Amino acid sequence: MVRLSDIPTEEAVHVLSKVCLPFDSRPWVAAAAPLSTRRVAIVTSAGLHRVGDPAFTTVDLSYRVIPASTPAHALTMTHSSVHFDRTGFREDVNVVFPIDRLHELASEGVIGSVADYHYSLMGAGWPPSAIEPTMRELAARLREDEVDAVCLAPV
Amino acid sequence: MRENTERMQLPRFLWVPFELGRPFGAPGEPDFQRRVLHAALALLERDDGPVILEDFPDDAPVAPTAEGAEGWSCPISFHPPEGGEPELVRETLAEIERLAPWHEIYVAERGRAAPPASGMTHQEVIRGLGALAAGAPASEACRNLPLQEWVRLGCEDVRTWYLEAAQGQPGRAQSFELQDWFWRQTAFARLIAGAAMYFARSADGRQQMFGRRAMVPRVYMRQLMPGVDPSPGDLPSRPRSSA
Repeated sequence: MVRLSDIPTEEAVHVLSKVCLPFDSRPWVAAAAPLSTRRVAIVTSAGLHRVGDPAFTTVDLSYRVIPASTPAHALTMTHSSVHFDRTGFREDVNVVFPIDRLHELASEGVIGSVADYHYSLMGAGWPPSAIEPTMRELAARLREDEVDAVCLAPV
Repeated sequence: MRENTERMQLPRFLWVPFELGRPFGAPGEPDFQRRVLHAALALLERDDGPVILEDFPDDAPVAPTAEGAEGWSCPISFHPPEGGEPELVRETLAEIERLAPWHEIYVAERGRAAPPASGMTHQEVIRGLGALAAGAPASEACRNLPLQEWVRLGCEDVRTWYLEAAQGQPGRAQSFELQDWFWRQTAFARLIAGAAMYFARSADGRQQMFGRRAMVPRVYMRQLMPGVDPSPGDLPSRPRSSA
């Protein structure tokens, strides 16, 4: 995301000061199946949810479910940061959550199918270790949906 | 950031050079977005791990600027009306009034206007921030949300509206020009900063952090919140009331 040289020096120093520890182990999984057979879900940390769902709070370890059929106008974003703005998302949800592009890749045969359910988190305010229980729960739900490929999309 | 990702040693990662908030490039560019998504998913077919950090080769498409045009600027000058409300609140309400036609044009052209995430009207947000800037907790503006949450969501709602209104005007403003205009030239940015000072001076550590780090970009703090360091440390004391 974004070149370090494209942001003000004060911000660059702050970003580089963040704790980004490597994993204790190497969670590598070899390519088990061609992309054209995979069932793909999107997990976004953009704090998206359906308009009627509870808003994300500043430090929020919960997740929201986004059914694949959710129309763009039914989504809102309650992640917030002074370092990005929502105008891109409001103009075209796919710039953050490329659900229409995923459907296109499925219809072109590039991927096998699109998951029935996608997921959203609040991507700030907690250390990576704190989100592990949430992610394990998400992983179980993805398996129930027979998902075998996930695009983790930041914001 | 690529630098942080290198340190984390993730198994499969596609680094993209796009601005924050637009991880798939640019709105209204489906072919480009599809390329980015496909490039990310294609990493699943690679077997040269355990760490793959791939760079997406292209910058996001940028809307062309009119030939011969200079940098974007907002031609609207704001004249606050007389009234009984605090000056910064009146200035901001006047801005909203002057920008509203451009926001209507923006919505008519782009066709999407999601409801505000805070559930508050702009006027409620502005008056609530005005109360905070004046040192009062503004409880009547809360709409059942905790203080920091309505401030966070309300500021974001109104800032988004400003940036959309600016994009409704003639000319194609670049993102950095819009941000610079918003934070350097609008009364609403000064109002946000005034409310941020309320939090930054709080005895509550979380409120302090919120005021120092979450409301105004660091690069504009020197102008909007003089004397406040975003890092933990001493803060200027609350000025004595003249009342």
